[in-house]
Amino acid sequence: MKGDRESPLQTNPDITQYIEIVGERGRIGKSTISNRVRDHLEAAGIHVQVARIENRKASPPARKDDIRVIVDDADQEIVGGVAALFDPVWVALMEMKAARGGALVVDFMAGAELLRTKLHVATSLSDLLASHDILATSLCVTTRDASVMEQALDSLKTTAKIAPSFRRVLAKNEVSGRFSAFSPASEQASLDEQLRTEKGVVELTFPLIQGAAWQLFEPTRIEMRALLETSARDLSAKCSCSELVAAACQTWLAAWWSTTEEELNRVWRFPAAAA
Amino acid sequence: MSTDILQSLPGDLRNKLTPLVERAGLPFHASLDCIVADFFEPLVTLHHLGASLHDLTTILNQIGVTTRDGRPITEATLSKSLSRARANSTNSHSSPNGITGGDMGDFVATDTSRHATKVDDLRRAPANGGGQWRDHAAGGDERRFEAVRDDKRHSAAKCGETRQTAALDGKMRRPKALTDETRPEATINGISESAAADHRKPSCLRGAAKEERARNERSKEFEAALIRGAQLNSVMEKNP
Repeated sequence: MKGDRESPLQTNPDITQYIEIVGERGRIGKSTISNRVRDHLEAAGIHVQVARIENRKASPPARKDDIRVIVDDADQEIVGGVAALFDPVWVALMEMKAARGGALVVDFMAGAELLRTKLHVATSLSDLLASHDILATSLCVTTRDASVMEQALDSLKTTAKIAPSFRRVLAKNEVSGRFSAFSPASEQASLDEQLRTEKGVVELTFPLIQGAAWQLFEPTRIEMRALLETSARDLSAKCSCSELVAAACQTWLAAWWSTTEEELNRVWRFPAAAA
Repeated sequence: MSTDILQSLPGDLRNKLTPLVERAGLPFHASLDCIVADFFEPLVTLHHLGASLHDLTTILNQIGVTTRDGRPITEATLSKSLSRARANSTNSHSSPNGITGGDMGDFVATDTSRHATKVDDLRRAPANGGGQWRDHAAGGDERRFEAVRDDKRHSAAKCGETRQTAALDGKMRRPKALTDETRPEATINGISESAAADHRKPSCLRGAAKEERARNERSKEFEAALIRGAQLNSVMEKNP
C-alpha cells in the first residue's frame, strides 16, 4: 500500500479524484499550487473543477465553474454541522463521477485546518471516498519558515490519522527561500528532517518564479496557461510594460512551469512522461 | 462525449443522437426510463446498426445519464429499462393473442429466433423495432399496430417524471393525472428542478468540452515559451 501511495498515479480521465490543498498559513502559495495542479491535470486531458473554501472577503473565483464555499457562517447551527457547508463539493464530486470522471481540487483557505479536521472526522470522508472508488490526495503546502513547517508537519500527521486512505503529498514552496540552505543546528533543519522522514509522503519542490515575473502577472489575474499562450506583444499591452520585459517574464514563468511539471509528474504522471 | 463517438457515427444517426446529447440538459438525474423512452428509436436504430448494448451503455454514461439514484448505467440496467420502455409503449392496447409488451423479451433479444417462437404473430416485424415496427410490418400485422395511437401510449417518460414529482411531494399519485401544463415544477431546497438541472448539467455539455480541448492542445506560442523556459532552466543550472 505504501508503495502505491508513493508511486505516481498514471493519469486517466476516467478516474475520479479528490485533491485537497491545505496549509494553515496565508500567502504560502496554496492557490498558486492548486491552480498549477489543475493546469497539470487538464493538460493530461482530465476534467478538473476547483472548489475554493474561503470567506466572503476573498476575490471572486477566476473561473465561472469554480465552486465557492463560504465559511464565515460556520458557527451557525445547520443540519449536518460544519460538514454540511461542504455539501456543494460532495454533490459536484458525485456528479463528476457519474458523468465522466475527473478531479475536484479543493483549495482550503488559510486557518481552515480545524474546519478540515471537523469535516473529515464528522463524515469519515476518507471512508466515504474510498467506498465510491474515488482516489484522494491531501497536498500540504509549506514554505521554509519554521512555524509554517511545524504546522505542515502537524497537518501531515493529522491527515494520516483522520484520512488513512489519502495519499499525502508535501509541496515545499520556495517562495520565501530555498530549503537547501538551512544551517545544520537550526530549528528549520530539524523540522525539514522530520518532514522528509515522515513515512509515505511524496515530497515536491516548487521553486520561486524567478525574475520577479509573478509581480508583473499577478495583478492581471490571467491564468498561467493563458499567460504562456499570449504573445509578448499582447502581454506588454496587458501588463503595461515593454515587450522586452514581458518576453523575459514570460520565459521565467515558462521555466517555472517546466520545473513544476516535472515535480507534479511524480504524483500525477503525464502519459508522455510514463512512456 | 460524446463528441468523438458522435462524430464517428453516420450522418443520419448522428442527427438523431444529437438531440439526445443536447437533451442531457434534462435533469441530470433524470431517470434512465425517461431518457430511454424519449430516445428509444435512436437507441434501437443505433443497436440495429451494430452498436452493442455495451456501446449504448458507454454513450449514455459519457453524456452523463445516470440511474435515478445517481449510479452509472450498466448494461443490465439499460437492458431492463429498454424492455420497460418497450412494454410501456405497447401495454396500452391489446396486442395479438393477448401478448403484452412486457412479454416481448429483453432489449438484448436481437435474437429473432427467440422472439419468433414467443410472439408468432410478430415474426415478420423486426425483433427490436419498438416504435418502428409499423414501418416494417407487412400485411395484416400493420393494421393491428396502426391502432396504437401516440396519445394513448403510456409514456414511460411521463410515468417516471410523475413518480419523481409525487415522491418529492411525499404522496403517490396516479402517473397519468399530470400533463406538462398541470405538472408543478419540482423544487429542491427551493431551487426549481430546471434551474438545478442546468447547474447539474455536465460541463462537457455547457461548452466546456471545447474549452478543455483548447487547453489540451498546445499553441505555438505556448510551445515556444516552454522551449525558452527549458533553455533558461538549463542555463541557470550551469550558472546558478
